[in-house]
Amino acid sequence: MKRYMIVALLALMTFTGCKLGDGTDPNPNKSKQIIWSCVYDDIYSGYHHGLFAIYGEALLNDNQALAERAKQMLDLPETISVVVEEERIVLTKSNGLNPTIYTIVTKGKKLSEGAVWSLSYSTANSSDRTLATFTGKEGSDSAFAISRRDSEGPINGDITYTYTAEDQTLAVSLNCTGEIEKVGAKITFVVQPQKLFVFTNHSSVVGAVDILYKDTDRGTTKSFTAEVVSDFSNMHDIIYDNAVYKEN
Amino acid sequence: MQSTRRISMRHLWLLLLLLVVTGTLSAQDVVIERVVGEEYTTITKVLPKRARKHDFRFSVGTYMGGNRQYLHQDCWGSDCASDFRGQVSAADTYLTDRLHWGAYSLSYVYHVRRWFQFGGTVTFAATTQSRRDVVTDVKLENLNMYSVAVMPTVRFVYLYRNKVQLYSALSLGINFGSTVPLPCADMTILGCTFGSKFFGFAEFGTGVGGWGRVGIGYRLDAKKREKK
Repeated sequence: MKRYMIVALLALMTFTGCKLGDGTDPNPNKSKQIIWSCVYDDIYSGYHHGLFAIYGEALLNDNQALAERAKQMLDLPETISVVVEEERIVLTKSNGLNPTIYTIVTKGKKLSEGAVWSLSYSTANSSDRTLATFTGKEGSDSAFAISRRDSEGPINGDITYTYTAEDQTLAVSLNCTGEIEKVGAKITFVVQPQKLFVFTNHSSVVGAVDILYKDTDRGTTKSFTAEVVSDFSNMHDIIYDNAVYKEN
Repeated sequence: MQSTRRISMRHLWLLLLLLVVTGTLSAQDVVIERVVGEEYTTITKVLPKRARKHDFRFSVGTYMGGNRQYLHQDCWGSDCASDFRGQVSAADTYLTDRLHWGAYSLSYVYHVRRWFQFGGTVTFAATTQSRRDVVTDVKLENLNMYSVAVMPTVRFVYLYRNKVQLYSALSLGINFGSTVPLPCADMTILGCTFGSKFFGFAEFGTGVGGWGRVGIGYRLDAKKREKK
């Protein structure tokens, strides 16, 4: 009798029980991907702001080919108004009634002469906001230091670039450190000196970065290296799929 | 959204009306026609108008999508976090699939008329899920949910025979459990019992009891007890 009852019970459980799904896949790299995407955004914005300095320096050096390449890589429209004044370069993107203005304050000196430039941004609805500061290296016309700080933390480093006129290749190399403050967490990152971030023609990127993530609420840390070798055909690929993570 | 709700309510009222009308037409007397020799005999078995019986049942039912509100939560703790730290924290864990273990009901109804019975139903249902560490696979927390629905029940019998009954039923009540108390309903669109005193039954319906239920029951004949 007991046997029949157990069989009946199992049959009923089979009949009525079911898997509802809604579970999630275990992905050991998921948290690293989230942290890495945040770091990548920071590095990318450093590179992007550095392109303004390269563009400004090319304009002052009257290097039209390089200026044009940098302008393309900045995704600036053909219709942008560029005014080179004695102490600043003003780039105005007209968006109807709300133009976007980028201002590079040069104080009449080139980066290759050791100048300190600042890049600021404003719209009709917002006041001037400094995006980055560039410090030139005297005697070097293809290297400068970048320093930027947004609401989440600073990024400091060196940018070097090479332009090959034959195939119009502009390679921008970034060596930097940075910090990102989040609520309850802090990320510190260092680009590996032997594997600098090199953005080539705004279409490929290689580099490796050591990342230390600290959960300040729990007191736990996570340390790993994210290395990427990818092209820009799909931004999502770079951030998630094409990065290789190594525990430190 | 409102029009959908209006349509649903209208359907509900129509169904309720159908149940009441069919209930009153139910439980007809049994007419047997026989030819014995050259004589044609019609025997009409007049069933008692009243059938005082107590009816106890236990059943097991399947899951229904409508029960999601009682047995499911879209996100848990850090999964709901919109902040960066919460997202990173949740990413180091994963959720197992949610499992439903059946809806178990206990009910009692009193046979007021052959076609009309009323009583109450209590339905218990549970789902299990857990959060595990993505690296070690250690279980970090249980995310189980359960619901207990307490509902007054009315049942309308279409066919009342000694061994077989066909019926529909409606229950409305409150669901307690892992969520805040919420109104709940259960409807047996068509049910069938097999057996007289001890019986088995199968039902097709909708609501907290699930779309399909099977169970066993026992009828206590009040009339016989009164005679004693």
